[in-house]
Amino acid sequence: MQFSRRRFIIGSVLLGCSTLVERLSGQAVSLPDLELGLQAWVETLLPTDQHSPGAGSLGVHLDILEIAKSKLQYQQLLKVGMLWADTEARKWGALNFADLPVEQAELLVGKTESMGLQAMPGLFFYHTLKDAKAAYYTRKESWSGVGFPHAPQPLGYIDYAEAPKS
Amino acid sequence: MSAEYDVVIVGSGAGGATMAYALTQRKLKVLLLEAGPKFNPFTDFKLSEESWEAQDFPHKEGSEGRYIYAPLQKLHSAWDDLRSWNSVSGRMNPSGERKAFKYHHVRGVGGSTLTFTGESHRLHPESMQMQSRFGAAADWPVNYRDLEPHYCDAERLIGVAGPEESGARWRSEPYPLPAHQLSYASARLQSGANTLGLHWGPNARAALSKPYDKRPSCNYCANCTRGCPRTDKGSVDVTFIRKAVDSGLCTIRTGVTVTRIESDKNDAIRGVHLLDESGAKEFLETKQLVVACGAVETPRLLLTSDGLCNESGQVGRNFMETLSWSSSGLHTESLGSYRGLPADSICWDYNAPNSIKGIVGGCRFSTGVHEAGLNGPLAYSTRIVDGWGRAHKQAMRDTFGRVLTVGAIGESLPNAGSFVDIDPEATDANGIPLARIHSRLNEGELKRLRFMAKKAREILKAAGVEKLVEEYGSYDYFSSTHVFGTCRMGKDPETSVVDSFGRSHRWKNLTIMDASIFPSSGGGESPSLTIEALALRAGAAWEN
Repeated sequence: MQFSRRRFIIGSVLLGCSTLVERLSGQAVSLPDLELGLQAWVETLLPTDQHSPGAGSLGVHLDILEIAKSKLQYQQLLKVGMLWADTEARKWGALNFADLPVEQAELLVGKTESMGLQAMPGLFFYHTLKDAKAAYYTRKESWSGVGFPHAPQPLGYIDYAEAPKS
Repeated sequence: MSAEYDVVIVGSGAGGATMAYALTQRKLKVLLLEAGPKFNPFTDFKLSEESWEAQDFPHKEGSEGRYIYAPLQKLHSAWDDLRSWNSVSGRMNPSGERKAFKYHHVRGVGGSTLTFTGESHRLHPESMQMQSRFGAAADWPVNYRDLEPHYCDAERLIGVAGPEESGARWRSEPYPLPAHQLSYASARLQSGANTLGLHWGPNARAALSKPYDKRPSCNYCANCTRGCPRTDKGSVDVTFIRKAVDSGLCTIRTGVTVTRIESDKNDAIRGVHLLDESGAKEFLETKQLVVACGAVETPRLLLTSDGLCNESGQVGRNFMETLSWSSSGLHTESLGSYRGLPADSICWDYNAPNSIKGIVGGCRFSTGVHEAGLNGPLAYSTRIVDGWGRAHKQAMRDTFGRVLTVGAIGESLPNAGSFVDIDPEATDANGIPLARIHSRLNEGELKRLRFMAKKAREILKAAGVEKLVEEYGSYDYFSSTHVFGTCRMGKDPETSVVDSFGRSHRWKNLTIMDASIFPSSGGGESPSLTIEALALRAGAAWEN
């Protein structure tokens, strides 16, 4: 049986944080709540700006949930990760992560990043960022943000010998 | 049954396809057997879709083979400057030994030319005399002058676009098509290389610079390796195979796996055992057999056929791999480097076998942005620009299109530790033992690789690159893009498997035609054009 590296690492970390995971896993979370929270999360990872829409607006969170459908441990990681973020957000007086102002949401994401891969929130950050980037940058709506004009075909890039237009 | 056919060819890559074309020109009826599927360029290569970057060359059922690796070489701190790394991941292979990169070859009609960049190189003439001139590898039993007319034919049939200058390679006629104009990014590399005193110019490319042979010209989408949906790239499915089929003399069967070659007592091949399109066993008699499965699968088929054709003991030996390096960095200026023709420019200055001081074996340098896969936002976001949030998006905007890459490929010399044999345990889905690759880089290879890395960095710096962002090479990743040598050709049956026409020294009706017959790898030249020239030469000399 194939045993993926992702599955192994997530399994190990969830096991290592068993007290936290047990406490959070016991809490009920509805799919709409998870979707809403994850939408705000990916929007913080890849936000809307004047050049392009953010990951939340483009529905990247739904792609992540789709990936998790066939991966039980990833589902669990998303659930407990989001519950942890909501719990932290409540300490700052918000209803949940989605309720945080942008600056505080960024502070919280930064905190998870700094926790590293051995901690559940850090692992949640790592995997959601990886999958959010993969889903986001393969949507044409994101390309205006980097100056990528269009898919390679059918037009190609016949201006290839000229300096790029700014 | 095969009585209908004069020749059965196993494998439809550069060697098998060109043989099919050459033999149909001789009015012979050819059956081409291909283990993989057929690809339709117009529907299978998805470069118009928004998810294009997440898709590599498309996978189809049966299009990927498998092989096993014997334990790969331990890494040593003395060569740490050759470790692969990038800005986001740090060291890409943090382990203490080399790793094998992905399966590089395509099983399908057209073989690995479907996913090749399409560089169309002639071998440096001195690279064909490695033993007599430099005491390394083996001499080719055919010289450059004899091969030259067939290089011309292959270039004409494919529609190669190239420059007048082609690095010490004498030409009897110009390229059929003019060279492509360099991309804006490659022109920066050219300027930088020139300041170092290097000659850097257009590469010879199997991509049409003008409409030719009922195919359109290239539109510089930069993604040859994902499969060309326009058919301007000269992969053999749209060139040699198309022409062979148009002759009415070539039949192709896909999804057919040849499991064993059967010989008789008169030193002749009787036929091949195969699993047909439905998986049923079949025996196909043949008057003539051409094996063209590449430098890993060809020795596998011979060795699993009771060691056929191995009178010299050289089948599977002399394995030569791809010695490659690429350095990528950020240019000070926005270049739009995701555009253009991959590997559109090249430097041959170190290609001759004695051109690197103190090391036998040459190398070449070329533009490598697209072959490194740094031609879309997803690659930048995962390999070049770390982070998240507003700062990440700003960095992506500031960085995208600024990557410049110098790629290098060098000579791989055979050694006793590099060979292909049969794995004693692992088998494929049909129960046939898998090929096992043994690879060892000797000190000469490592020194050559270090030279390639050092020079690539110098060229980038001279071209205006301020900061390196990724380097990748053969020291810690085994690469099988170009593999050679496992059924080497030669004049002496004691030390070689086939003669200069790919004919077995012993078996009267057996020919091998792929890069397995190369006695040496060359100094970084891409091998497809040489395979095709050898096949055209063999076809022209074929005795009906």
